[in-house]
Amino acid sequence: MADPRTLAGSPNEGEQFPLYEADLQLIERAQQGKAADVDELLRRLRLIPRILRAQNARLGAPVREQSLDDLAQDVFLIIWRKLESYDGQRPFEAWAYRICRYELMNCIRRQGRHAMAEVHPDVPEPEPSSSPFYEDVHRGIETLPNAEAAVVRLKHFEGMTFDEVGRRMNISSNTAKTRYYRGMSQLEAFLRERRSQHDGGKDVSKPSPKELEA
Amino acid sequence: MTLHEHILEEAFLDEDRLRSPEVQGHLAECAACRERLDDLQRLSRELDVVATEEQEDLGRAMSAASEDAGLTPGFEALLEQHRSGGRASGAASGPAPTSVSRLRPLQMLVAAAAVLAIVFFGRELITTDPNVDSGGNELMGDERLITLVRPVTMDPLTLEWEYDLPPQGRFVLTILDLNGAVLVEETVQTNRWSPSDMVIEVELPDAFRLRIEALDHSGHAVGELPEVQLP
Repeated sequence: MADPRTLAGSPNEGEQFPLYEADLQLIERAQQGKAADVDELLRRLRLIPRILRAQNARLGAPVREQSLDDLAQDVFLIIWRKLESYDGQRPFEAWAYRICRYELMNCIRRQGRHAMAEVHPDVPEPEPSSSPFYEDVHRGIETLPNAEAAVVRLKHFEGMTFDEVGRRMNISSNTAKTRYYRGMSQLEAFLRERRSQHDGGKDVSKPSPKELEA
Repeated sequence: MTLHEHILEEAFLDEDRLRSPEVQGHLAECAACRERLDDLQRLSRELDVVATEEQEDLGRAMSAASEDAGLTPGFEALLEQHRSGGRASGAASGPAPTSVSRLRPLQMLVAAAAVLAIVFFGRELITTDPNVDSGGNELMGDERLITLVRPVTMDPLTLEWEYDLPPQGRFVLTILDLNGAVLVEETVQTNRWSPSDMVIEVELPDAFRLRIEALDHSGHAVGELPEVQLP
């Protein structure tokens, strides 16, 4: 595996771009047991229960407060054990957010929808959510070559223009555009395949002839 | 790059080009390019939705963090234990040992008493009394072996194992691919596990490696199923 600290801007597609070098270094220093960095990391991990609450609220609060508190502790332990896998491709909080999301969804599935409705019949209307899509998107981005994945992330998750992406990655904005197009094309193909699997083989990304007539 | 691909890239990346008569003319004639452009534009919108949702949730979480410093006592205790562990460890292997989950103040007292009791009496009992009930599991230092029930049902996948979990303990089940990448990591409190819908979506490979660790109420490892390859 390539060293994640490879210099940004390298044209080699297999190389990593450590977009969040400071976060990566913080975790490395904390892993070496440096007290100030452990403190800083723990301060940032205090966000876990709040992230879970925000996610739970978005989904219509299917998980009760007490269970959410327990889940927060479990997620903390999971994140703590996974620290070594943080590669600096996303802000640390966004990386933790995804783990929170995954574990929350697992928790909801464990509870079971039926049981949930019984114990929590007055669930508020959930906010619009990309739940079914969220994990697939991140998995899809992970399948892209690093250079393309970095551009797609910066463009959508950081809201950067191609000029800004180019400056950040030390490439021209035209190169950023080319990588973005390539990345989006591959991601689209990946997600179409996933949707097709979710839908039992039917390609849901394309309208059926009947839908076209309608 | 084909002409179609070239025009499609321009149309997707540049709104001015998209509106140009040349591109509009091509799209009017080429259904495949029209369809692909629609797909890409829809994906772009969907990514924005995912990103916005994430940013909103993180914003709320950060805002809550600035307004309210109070977390649950259990979570605070967990942070504190890792803070101590991190400072004490100074090791390159990790900032601190895996620690407390679902820790409550009363449990902390009980845990402290239990640790003291184990330190003073436990090891001696384990090493001197071969008849101590080990729950049918083999002794391995201070940890006991978890025994996987075989044959393992693979379709649908159902894992069962033998181990007497201590009160409020839990198992950490980890499934890795053959290269060692973690595919699933879940905490369970029963001796049986089947993949949830979400895990199934991960697409477990035909062959994988399984590791199970038993933790007591304070998060200390008390049992282990050493990594095995399945099937």
